[in-house]
Amino acid sequence: MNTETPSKKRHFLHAMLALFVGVMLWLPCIQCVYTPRLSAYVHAKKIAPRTQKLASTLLADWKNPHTRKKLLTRMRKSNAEWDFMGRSFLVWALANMSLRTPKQKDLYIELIDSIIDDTLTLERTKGMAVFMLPYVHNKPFVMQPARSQFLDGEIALMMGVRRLVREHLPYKKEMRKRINIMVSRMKKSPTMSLESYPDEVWLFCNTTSLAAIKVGDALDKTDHSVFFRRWIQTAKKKLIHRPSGILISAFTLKGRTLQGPEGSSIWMSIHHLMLIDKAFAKAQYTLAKKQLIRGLYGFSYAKEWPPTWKAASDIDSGTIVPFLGASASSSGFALVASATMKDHALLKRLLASLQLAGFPRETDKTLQFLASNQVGSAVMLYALVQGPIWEKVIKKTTEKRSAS
Amino acid sequence: MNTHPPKRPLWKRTPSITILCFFALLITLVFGLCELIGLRVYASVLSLTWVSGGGSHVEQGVSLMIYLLAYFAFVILVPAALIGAVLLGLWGRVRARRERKAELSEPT
Repeated sequence: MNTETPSKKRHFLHAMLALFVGVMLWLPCIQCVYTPRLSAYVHAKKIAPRTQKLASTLLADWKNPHTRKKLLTRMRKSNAEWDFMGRSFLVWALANMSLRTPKQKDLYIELIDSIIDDTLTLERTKGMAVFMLPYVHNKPFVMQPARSQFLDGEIALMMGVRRLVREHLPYKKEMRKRINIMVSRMKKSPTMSLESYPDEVWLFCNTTSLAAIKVGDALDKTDHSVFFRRWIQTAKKKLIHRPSGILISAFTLKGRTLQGPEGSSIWMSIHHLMLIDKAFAKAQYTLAKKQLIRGLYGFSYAKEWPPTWKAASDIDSGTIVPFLGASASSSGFALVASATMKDHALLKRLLASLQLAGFPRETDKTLQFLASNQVGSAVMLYALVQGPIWEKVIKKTTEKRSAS
Repeated sequence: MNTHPPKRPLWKRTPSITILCFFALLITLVFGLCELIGLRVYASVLSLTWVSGGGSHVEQGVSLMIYLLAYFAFVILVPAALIGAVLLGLWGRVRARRERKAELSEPT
C-alpha cells in the first residue's frame, strides 16, 4: 500500500506536466480553429456571406414587432441610449448595403424610413430623454435652448445617408434644419463641440455631427471646409490628451477633461474624422492602435483606456475582462476603425476573437453573436459593410470642389 | 508457447494517460451539460443585456461564470489534455524501446 501512493502521485504529476506541455503547444494553435477567412465577412463590393447572415438576422428582428419590442426592452433596461444607437448603426449599415446590392435598395430604403420615422416620432412625443440615461435630468444644459448633440448628430447622419441612397425631401428639410442649428451653436462653443448631456460634451457625438455636416455638403450646396479646419485646429489645441496623444472622450463645454481617451469613443471618431481630415484620422488610428490594441496567440482585442489614463469602467465600456483589460465595446468599435483603415490584419484578428468569445450561433440563413445585443450586432454589421457611403461623400465633395 | 505475461488493462498500464483522458472526458461532459441546460443564453450578460425571466442579476452572473469556465476549459484544456496524453504515450514507447535495447545489450 505504501508503495502505491508515491506511484499514484508520480502518475498524477506526469499527467499535470503533460497537460502543461499540451496547453503550451495548443495555445498557439487555437487561432487556426477560430480565425475566419476574411472573405466570409468582408467583400470589396458586395456583402460577404456571413455578413449577409448577420444582416438577415438583424432585419428579421427589426421587422417582427414582437421580437423587436423584446430586444429593445432588454437593452433599454441597461441603457436607453443603446436603443437609439442600435437604430443609427442599422440605418447607416442599410444605406451602405443599398449601394452594395442595388437590387435590394427598395427593401432597405423602406426599412431605413421606418426606423427614422419611428425614431422621430419617439423624439417628438416623448422628448429627447427617451433615448438617454436618466441623469440627463440632473441639471440644466449650459447652452440653451437645451439640445443633445447625441440625438441631433446621429439623426442628421441617418437622414444624410438615406438621402445619399435616394433623395427624400422631408428628410432634406429636417436634416438641413438640424445641421444649421448644430453649426451655429458649435461656432459659439469654446471647444467647437456641443453637449450631449448637461455640461458633458462627447467626442463620439461631435465627430458624428461633423460627418453629418460633411454628408450635407456632399448633398446640398453648402461648404463647411473652413468650419472643419477650425474644428480640427481647436481639437488639436484643446482636446488632445498629451501623454497619449489621443483625443479625449468627454469634456465640459469649456474644455475641462471629464473622460480621457477611451476606446469606445476614439475608434468611431476616427471613422468619422476620415471624412473631415484624413491625415489626422490616420495619425489618431496609429496612436490608438499602438496604445489600445493588444494581441495574444493570433487573437486581438481593444482595451478601453491607454496605459497613461486610468478610469473606472462605465456603461459605455461594456464588460471588461479582468487582467487582460479587454473591453467588449472598444473591441466592437475597433472593428469599424480597422475596416475603415483597411487594416485587414487587425480586422482578421479581431474577428477571430469575436468567433472565440462572441459565442456565434449560425444557421444556413442567420448569424447572431450571443455575447452581443442588438446594438452590438448593428455595430458589427456596420463595420463589415461600411465604405461605399464614405466613398460617395468623398467623391461628391471632391467633384464639387474641383468644379468650383 | 507464449512466454509473455498476461497484459494488464490499458488504464493500469498507462495511469497518467488515463488521468488525462478522464479529465478531458469530465470537462466535455460538464460543458455538454451546460449547453444542454441552456446556459449559453447567459452569454448576453457579457454585453450587460440581461436575460428576461433568467433570474436575478447575481444568478445570471453566476450562470455566465459557470458557462464561461466550462467553455474555456473545453476549448483550451480538452485538446491540451489529449495532446498531453499523446505525448505521454509517445514518451512511454520511446522509454520502453530504450529499456528493451538496454536489456538486450546486457551481457547474460
